[in-house]
Amino acid sequence: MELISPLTGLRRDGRREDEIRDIKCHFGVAKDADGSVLFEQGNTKILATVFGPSDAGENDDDDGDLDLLEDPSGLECEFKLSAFSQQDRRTGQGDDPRADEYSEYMEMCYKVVMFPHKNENSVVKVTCQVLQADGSHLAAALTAGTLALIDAGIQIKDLIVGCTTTIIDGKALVDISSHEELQRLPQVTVGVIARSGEIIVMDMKNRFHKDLLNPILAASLAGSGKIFEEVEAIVREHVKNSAPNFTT
Amino acid sequence: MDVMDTTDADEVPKRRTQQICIPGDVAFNLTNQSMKTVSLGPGVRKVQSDIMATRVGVMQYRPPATFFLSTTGDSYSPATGDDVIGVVVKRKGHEVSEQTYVVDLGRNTGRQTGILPILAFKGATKRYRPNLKKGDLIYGRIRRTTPDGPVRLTCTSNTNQSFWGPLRRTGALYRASLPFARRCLTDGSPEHDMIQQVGVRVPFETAIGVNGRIWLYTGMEKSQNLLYSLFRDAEAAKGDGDVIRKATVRVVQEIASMSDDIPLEDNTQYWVTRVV
Repeated sequence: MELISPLTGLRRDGRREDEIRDIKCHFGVAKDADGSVLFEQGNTKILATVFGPSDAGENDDDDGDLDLLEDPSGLECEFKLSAFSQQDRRTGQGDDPRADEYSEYMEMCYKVVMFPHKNENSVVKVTCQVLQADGSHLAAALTAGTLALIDAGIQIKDLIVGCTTTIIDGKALVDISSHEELQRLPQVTVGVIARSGEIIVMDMKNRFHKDLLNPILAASLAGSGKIFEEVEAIVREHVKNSAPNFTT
Repeated sequence: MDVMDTTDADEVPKRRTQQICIPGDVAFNLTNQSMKTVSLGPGVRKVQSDIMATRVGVMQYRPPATFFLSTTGDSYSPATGDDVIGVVVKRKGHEVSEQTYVVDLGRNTGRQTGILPILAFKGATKRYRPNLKKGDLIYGRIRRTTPDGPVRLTCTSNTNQSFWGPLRRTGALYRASLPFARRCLTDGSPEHDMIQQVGVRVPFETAIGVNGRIWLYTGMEKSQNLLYSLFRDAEAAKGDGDVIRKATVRVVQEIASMSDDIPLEDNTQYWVTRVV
């Protein structure tokens, strides 16, 4: 089936090219974590948890020179795709190679907006686990992780938001679902600081012609902007509802 | 509480306004103000002439030049000068004069501990000092927080005030949220008034730690339980003054009219000589 219906001009889920999916957030779902959020973008559901800042532990002196190579940023990120998240259960012989890559992307993003810790030997752990995979996993993870950091009260400079875009017949589709992901079309995921439009991370899938880059990128930024608007409104609402619990 | 939704940079207001901020929000723009030095509290940073939020909360301004963010965050972050209630975990060290108690200050994850020298109590000497066991409570002040060392506590003070020190074991420890504990310490808040009102009719002791721990002691079993439940109801009221007032009146009545209260037996001797 085609991605865009020739009859209605709509996508398979009824959206237009530039429309994003419904976003819902439930904060504080994981009671044991310092910060957590169940982030839903359409049918993609991600549980993001933040632990920290906590003691990073002693440096293993047996490493020798490798201590210098260790990143002192105090941030550890993990992206996990649950075995039950997709249509077929992934028993997974090993780790999904993309998981490591996505984890690195998350680290790159959050490092930019986080402040160096007051304590030298402390670490913040951000984990994004995809519970239900319906496309735009990295993008949703980037957004979810930011929200979890906010829930944990960790100081950040600004919000990071992710968006995955694809392009077909010259039309850029924003916030793609898994059906649209599996089409082997050009895909670009961006992690941006939405307010300034600054792109921190950009991931490309499936080779495509460079002429397509600008339209895809422009659509990504526009899509990120919309996602940020939604997320911003949700966060402000959440704060307002917790307002009685502030000090006067 | 008057909560405004403005997200544009405002001029510094003459009166207090409450502005919801998310990280990256510019709450105030100071180009038109003549503030030479600006005092920044938690959750806020200054980017050129903008006051920007780094967390989620309500931006506060206190004249002449103080800005900070009120947050619901329930994770205590030790800061110098904070009065906290700690739970003794163990005792470290060999030389008596260098020994310290490792004290838990409470955190969601990753236990936050501080160290308290065993002689850092008012009037303590090598031979005569508190002998604290695991689980004992102390009320102390955070003396120092350094990036590469443990948090240092003390129970001594330069003034003659002697309320720092171990807290009676028979008291009750109420675990509160940070905002609730802060409100109890804020003049004029319903929670603060509640404490004052109870004190008019009921003799009791309380220690409020900004790390979210409140210790209560009346010395009598039933009244202590009632007092504990009053604090629990007050926190559940989430700042609603009417609810708190009604609960206070009810509890005070009940305690004052009680005739069959059982005294709590407290045989613990904290201060001992010649401790092994």
